[in-house]
Amino acid sequence: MLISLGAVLLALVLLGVWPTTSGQFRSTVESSVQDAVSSVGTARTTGQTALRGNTFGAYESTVLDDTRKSVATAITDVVESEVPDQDSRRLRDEVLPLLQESARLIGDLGTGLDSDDRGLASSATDGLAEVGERLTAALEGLR
Amino acid sequence: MKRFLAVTLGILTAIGGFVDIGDLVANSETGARFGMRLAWVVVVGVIGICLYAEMSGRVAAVSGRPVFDLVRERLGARVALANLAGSYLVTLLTLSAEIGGVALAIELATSVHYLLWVPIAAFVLWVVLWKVKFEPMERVFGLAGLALVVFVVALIALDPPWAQLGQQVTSPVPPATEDWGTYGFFAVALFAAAMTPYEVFFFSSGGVEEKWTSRDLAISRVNVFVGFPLGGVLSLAVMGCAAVVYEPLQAQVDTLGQTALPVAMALGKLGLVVVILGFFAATFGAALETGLSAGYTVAQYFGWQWGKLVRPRQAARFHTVVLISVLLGVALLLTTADPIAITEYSLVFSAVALPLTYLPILIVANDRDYLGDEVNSPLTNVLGVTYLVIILVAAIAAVPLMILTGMGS
Amino acid sequence: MTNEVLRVDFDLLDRQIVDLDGHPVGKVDDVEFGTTADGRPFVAAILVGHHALGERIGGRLGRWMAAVARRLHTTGDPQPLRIPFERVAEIGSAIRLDVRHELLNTPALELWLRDNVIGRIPGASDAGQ
Repeated sequence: MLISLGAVLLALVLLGVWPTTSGQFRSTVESSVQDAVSSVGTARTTGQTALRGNTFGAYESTVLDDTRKSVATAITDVVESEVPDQDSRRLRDEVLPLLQESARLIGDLGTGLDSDDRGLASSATDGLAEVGERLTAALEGLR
Repeated sequence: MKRFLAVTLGILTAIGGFVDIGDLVANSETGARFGMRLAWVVVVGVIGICLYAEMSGRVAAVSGRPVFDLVRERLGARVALANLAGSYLVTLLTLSAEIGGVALAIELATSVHYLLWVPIAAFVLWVVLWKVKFEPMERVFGLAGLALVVFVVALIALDPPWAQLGQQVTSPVPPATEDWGTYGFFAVALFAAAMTPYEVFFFSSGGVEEKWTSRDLAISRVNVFVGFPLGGVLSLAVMGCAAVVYEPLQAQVDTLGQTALPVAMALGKLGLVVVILGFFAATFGAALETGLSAGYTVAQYFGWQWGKLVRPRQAARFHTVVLISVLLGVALLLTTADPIAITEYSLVFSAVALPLTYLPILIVANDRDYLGDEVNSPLTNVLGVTYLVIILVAAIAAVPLMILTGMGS
Repeated sequence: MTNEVLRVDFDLLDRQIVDLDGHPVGKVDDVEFGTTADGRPFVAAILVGHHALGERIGGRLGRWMAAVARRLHTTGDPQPLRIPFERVAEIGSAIRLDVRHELLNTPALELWLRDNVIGRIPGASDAGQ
């Protein structure tokens, strides 16, 4: 009984410290990109709706806060993962700028809406539409 | 008007089953990822809950005994104790999630972090459970929850490609981006949400609190056949709105704010205000339902005095269970556990506990000692047994699917 | 039901007990048998209380439940509430007694919670619906 419990614990520990394989890295990236696609799509739609005057401040900032946190987590997940090989490194270098761009644009949109800067808000919304398309293409490549 | 108000018990019960915090987000998530390809599960769930809620309402009206009372009589003290533990845990988890849901709804309106609202929401909830009489409580929150009809209006105003949605409804297979595992997981979760045990506990106990007798069978049936289908329609409308807005973006939904966005797009600021009010009413109503149900299940297992018909000091054990449940719910939320994740887990556990809730109802609904001539008709029994099989399949599949798909992610 | 045979397991055990006015008293957690002069067993009383239930459920959980019930008391040695079978007026969907619940001993747990928790909250004595 005790031995089998020990074996299970050992297996769990080994699983935790075992080096990441390229497959695992790829699936981390995939889920990060999916989260970013969701957040960017939501932020962009919120931006468009807000610019038409169809929302109010408290709602906008709550939704944009959620999306910003979600993209931040996605970035952290990719950055914190160990990069097992050259292919994974290439994948990371392709995806990470897109994620960072998303985070920047969501931040800009929030600032624009908060400070009633329609120019900033609408350019951020357009930017989100564009980066959203690139993220979606990346996601399809990863599936 | 009085006749109209008589159905608020059914509406409030159904809100807890179909559009509480977990379902609002889960329905949106389902719509975003599967379009309307899982809509049939909601229909199957509505028929199932109507069938069994009708039986439990009939038992309550004719025998004056709510469902949980009879679970112990028919399953025996030991099995019923296991059932009590399971049902109480599910109800407690859901209560916790609903308190979180109330706080999340207020966060949408104020942008103040939801955790700050949790203690306030819980205190107000407890005051309502302590002071407000059953009927006004049920009416206010049942009717206010109807604000969620705004999702139906929004879906129509979004003018979706109806033909495409219709095609999805009639093709019950996962889309290209999903596999059968996640499809099955969401199907089980939606079905379990429609059939959550506390709905029948609450509905039948509510009938006893409203002093139903055999003469009120018609009222009981109207409650069932108006309330639950209405809940199902709301749930489908939430799903449809998300399918229209999020599926083309390939975006997934996991927050309440995202659930509200389609309404803002279609109906503007006013729509957004109404939908947030609806969120508040529905989650608060569901919190009342689960808070009372937590007390009902324990009190009815042990045979204690329960309910809001007597002074609180005459039902001290019942009110203590309710109070402790609310406190436990708050404690769980203050660990910063995500309210939406809590409901997702509670749905899986709920699926596992379903057979033990519904089997005794079917047995009792056939017992002439309790019901005299009002026992089940042969057709009701055929449907009842069919649903027991479905419930059993869902119960067996729930945990393996949860592990296999990592909660459907 | 009166002209049928009364089955203790099916018709008595775990059934709800209510008083004259329908107020819940408890469940039939156990029954006490007596024997007549010619040696036939009969139901002497119904027992209500977590100790009785715990002892009937048995196992670790049952022992634990009974032990907790024994500790939750305000005076002396707590015993399950014993209701002589003559007090049973009717066995239907519930077991109806021919006395009011005020005449029976209030369970220790209810009494303790009433005096120390619920009774101390403002509004505890306000009328229900």
